[in-house]
Amino acid sequence: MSVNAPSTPRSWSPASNTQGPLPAIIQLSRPYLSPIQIKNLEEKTAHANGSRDQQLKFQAFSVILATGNYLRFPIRTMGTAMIIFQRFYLFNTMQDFPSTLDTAHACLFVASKTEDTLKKLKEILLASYHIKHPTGPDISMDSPVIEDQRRRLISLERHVLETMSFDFRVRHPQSYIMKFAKHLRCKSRSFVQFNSDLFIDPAPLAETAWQVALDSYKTLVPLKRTPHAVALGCLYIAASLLECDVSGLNPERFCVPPGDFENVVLELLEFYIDWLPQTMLSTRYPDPAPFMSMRIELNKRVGKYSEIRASGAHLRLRDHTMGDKGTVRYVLNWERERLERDELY
Amino acid sequence: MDEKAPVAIAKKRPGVGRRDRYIKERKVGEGTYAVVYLGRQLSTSRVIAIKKIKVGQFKDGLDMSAIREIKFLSELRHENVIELVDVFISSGTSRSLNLVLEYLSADLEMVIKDRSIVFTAADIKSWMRMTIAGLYHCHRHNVLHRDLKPNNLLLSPSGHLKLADFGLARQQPGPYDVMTPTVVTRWYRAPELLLGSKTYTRKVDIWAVGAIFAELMLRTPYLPGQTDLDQLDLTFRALGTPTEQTWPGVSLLPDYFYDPVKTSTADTGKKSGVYLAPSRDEMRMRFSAASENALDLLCQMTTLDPAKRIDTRDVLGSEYFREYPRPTQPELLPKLSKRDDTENDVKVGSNNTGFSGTLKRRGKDDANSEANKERERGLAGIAKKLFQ
Repeated sequence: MSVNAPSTPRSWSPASNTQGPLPAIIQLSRPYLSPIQIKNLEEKTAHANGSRDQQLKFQAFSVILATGNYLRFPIRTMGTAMIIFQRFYLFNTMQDFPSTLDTAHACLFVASKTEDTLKKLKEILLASYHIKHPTGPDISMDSPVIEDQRRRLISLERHVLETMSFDFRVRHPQSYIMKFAKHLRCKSRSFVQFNSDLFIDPAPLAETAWQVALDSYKTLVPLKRTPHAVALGCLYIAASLLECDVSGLNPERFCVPPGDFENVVLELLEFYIDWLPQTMLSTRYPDPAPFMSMRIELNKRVGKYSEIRASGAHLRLRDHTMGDKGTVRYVLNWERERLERDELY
Repeated sequence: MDEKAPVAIAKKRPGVGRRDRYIKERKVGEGTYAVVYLGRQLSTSRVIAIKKIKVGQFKDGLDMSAIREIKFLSELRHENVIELVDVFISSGTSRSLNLVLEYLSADLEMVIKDRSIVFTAADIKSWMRMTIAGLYHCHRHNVLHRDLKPNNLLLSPSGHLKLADFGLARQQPGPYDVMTPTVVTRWYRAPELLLGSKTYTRKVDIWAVGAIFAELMLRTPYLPGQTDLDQLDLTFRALGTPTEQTWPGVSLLPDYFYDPVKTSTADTGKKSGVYLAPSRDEMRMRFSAASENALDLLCQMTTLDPAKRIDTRDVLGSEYFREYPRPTQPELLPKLSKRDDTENDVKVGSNNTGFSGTLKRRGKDDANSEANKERERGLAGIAKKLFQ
């Protein structure tokens, strides 16, 4: 690199010598998306065959879960992979990235890196192969099939990372579920001498809520709401299913913004009603009736909350060729961008 | 996400959409996973370092340490932690990932090695204070650094010390998460790591800072082990062999191999006897210039049992930082002589590739650099002095 060479090869071209700003892309990271943003994005990515897309997603999730379990990843790694996967197909269309299974592997690979449960890409691919062919022929590390897949995944990894905007902030609801459940136990214990009906046994409650939290990764809830709101929603569903008293689950006491809690619960219930066979709870609750009655109950309460309109409702899809058009900067938040702009003027 | 700034918008907001925000001036270093360039931010003329991550030739995609650096540095902002100014992907066919980092002219290791510089107690206190302040910030945000050593404590031209190289950093794990014990460069590795503990805590960073503290006073590494086993031996020789009384639970650690029956039979080829903890007088002799409070702090930081080791908050509040002399102002701290400054004028953390890289690089350094050999010789002398 010669002295004073510009930072990008692009700007060597004579056109770049003209004064004035050059097109460069600033990609802001958005850890959370508003429901309106998601709706708009979904309209853009929507395939003609929506339910087929959903089936492909479920298939990808089960691959992530099975491979993750085989490799003994902690649940947060699989959860992160699923959140990344959801995000990926919000900003990219299935036409551009048709192989959802490859994407699922790439997401799991990225998640294993960001969650400090590093595995080699080949190990992930081998694990996935063994799950797919449990009795079939063993495959060697250097098999051309694996090698070919590996090469595809490396380039896909880049797309995944770029879709994430190199922002690795992912938070999970599980720890909140445990803490909230323990808190509820403490509270109900103090009441138990007066009224034994108020007693909530925390272990089955937390266990059921944990399963609900696993199912929540298959929805877009983690992209919309903060983990403690998700955790409280999971606990509410679990408590209702176990027919516990839910009066202790007051959102304000757990610092969940009004409306968030109801929306989490409603969205999860909708998911259970529509896709019950695909969920963890289906083995214990094969009938959607309790979910439906819960929804009716909640709909009475939820009417008064309206969605807060966020700015930037219309997000663009990710242009996966944008790297050829200019430099892409990754910025974590708006404040910084504004800060730098002030500095420039 | 995906907020593109087309030309029209960019014109309305000059500067925002500019591509030439940075200029690369020259290449200053190359590591296994990155090339480092010295550059300048155009809008402010600020000198910066651009770390261009090599991609493509690795079979496992983007390097883990690059991910860790982005993950932690983009969120940590502190005057004693290196600043990640920008992350961008350049256009063109290479599409390489670039990290724009604060420019820092030297590291503490270079200063320690420069024999022409004399440290005062106030200087040492100043460096210690800045290190601990940066580390406190990391720990408060649940980040373990896991690779603290003088080489990774960088010094800005204005004398400020900054923690760098977060390539091994990770989040404070949950209660039952296991982590690899092969972290931290050997000389600064805490005993629980040497004994193979997989559930260590942020106290490993404290141990490393303690070793750096001792190194600042001695002007030579405190516990320079040649191998991992040697390191353990050296650590215990200097600070006493831990027992169940002094460190409850030590015998449960995976690599704890002490067998009282075989004491001093030396069948491992190493001296495996029990070393006594050093007396206060012994410590005073080792660190003749240190004040009583400094010695107290050092002993607390290099306590073998991690549960009893002091944490960053208590270090900051310790008597050592309250007694005279006051820490030197960063601007007045000793600087490298000009010659060294031009030779190594950029530091953005080393470019190791991870766990094995750390050790490998240390080995390579030892073999290659004449200065290091000299250092080794000096240190053999010191070790003799210490332990005879």
